[in-house]
Amino acid sequence: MMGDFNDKRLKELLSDSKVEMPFSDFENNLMRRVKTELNGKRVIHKNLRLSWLFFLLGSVFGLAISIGLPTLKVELAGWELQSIKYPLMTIVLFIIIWQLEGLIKLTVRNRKFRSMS
Amino acid sequence: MEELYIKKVIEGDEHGYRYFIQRYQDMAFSIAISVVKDEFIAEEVTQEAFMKAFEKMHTFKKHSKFSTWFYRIIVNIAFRRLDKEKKWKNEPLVAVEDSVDESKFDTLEADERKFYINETLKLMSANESLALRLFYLEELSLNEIKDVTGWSNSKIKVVIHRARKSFYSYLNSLLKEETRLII
Repeated sequence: MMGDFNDKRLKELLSDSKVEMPFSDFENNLMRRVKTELNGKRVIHKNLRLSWLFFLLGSVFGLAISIGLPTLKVELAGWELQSIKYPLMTIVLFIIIWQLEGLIKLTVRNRKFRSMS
Repeated sequence: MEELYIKKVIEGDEHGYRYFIQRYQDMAFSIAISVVKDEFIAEEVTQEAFMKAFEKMHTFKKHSKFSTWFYRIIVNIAFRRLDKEKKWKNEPLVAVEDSVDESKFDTLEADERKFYINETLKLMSANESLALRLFYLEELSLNEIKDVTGWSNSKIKVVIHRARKSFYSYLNSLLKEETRLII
């Protein structure tokens, strides 16, 4: 069967009919798309890194406030700051866990997308 | 040369990719159109294949040629698109001819020949026209075609054998039709 494949005439016919890209703007359109894609990825990566940074800063600040504030012997509208220690800490921990979950999901999704693409 | 541009693209230099677009766009379009048979869909398939190759460039292992790796991407996307468009054509083999009617073909101008050959490839099934393009035009070996299409060696041989006969049969019938119309 391989002998049949050695068909010079068919080769000639096909090479005479080479198809060229008929859309003259193809290259520029594609380069634009590549650039957009690349910029999008860079922006997502940068934003994700910033999100983690601000999350860490916010968490440290929140924990410092919730631990440090009740140690001050100051009254606020007749309330001792000591008495809001636990509600404040609960709120801060709730926010930290809530944001942490969101950030982890976002990071994992971004990694999956990058490995798939 | 190609390795240098591959490195550039992996490092995030999008301008390095222009080299691949300029070098492979005609070939990519030619492969895509032999499967999907429509210029506009073929353009979309080609664009999608280039985007995919750009994103996956870091996974290119250099075990094969870049062109073979890229052909595979185009072929996969083109067949997926064909599935989506539900334009699969699996006609039974009725083709028996294995040469072109030279007396009619020689009277044609170069442009007309090109037109008839491309019309013939459009009439053929996706598998057959793809096999012809890869084997006779791109001059890929059977092993390379195997890498590109994922077909077995025996399937490739059968498809090329059928494709040759279909090609001549469709071309001769188009030429007969042309002669009939002129007369």
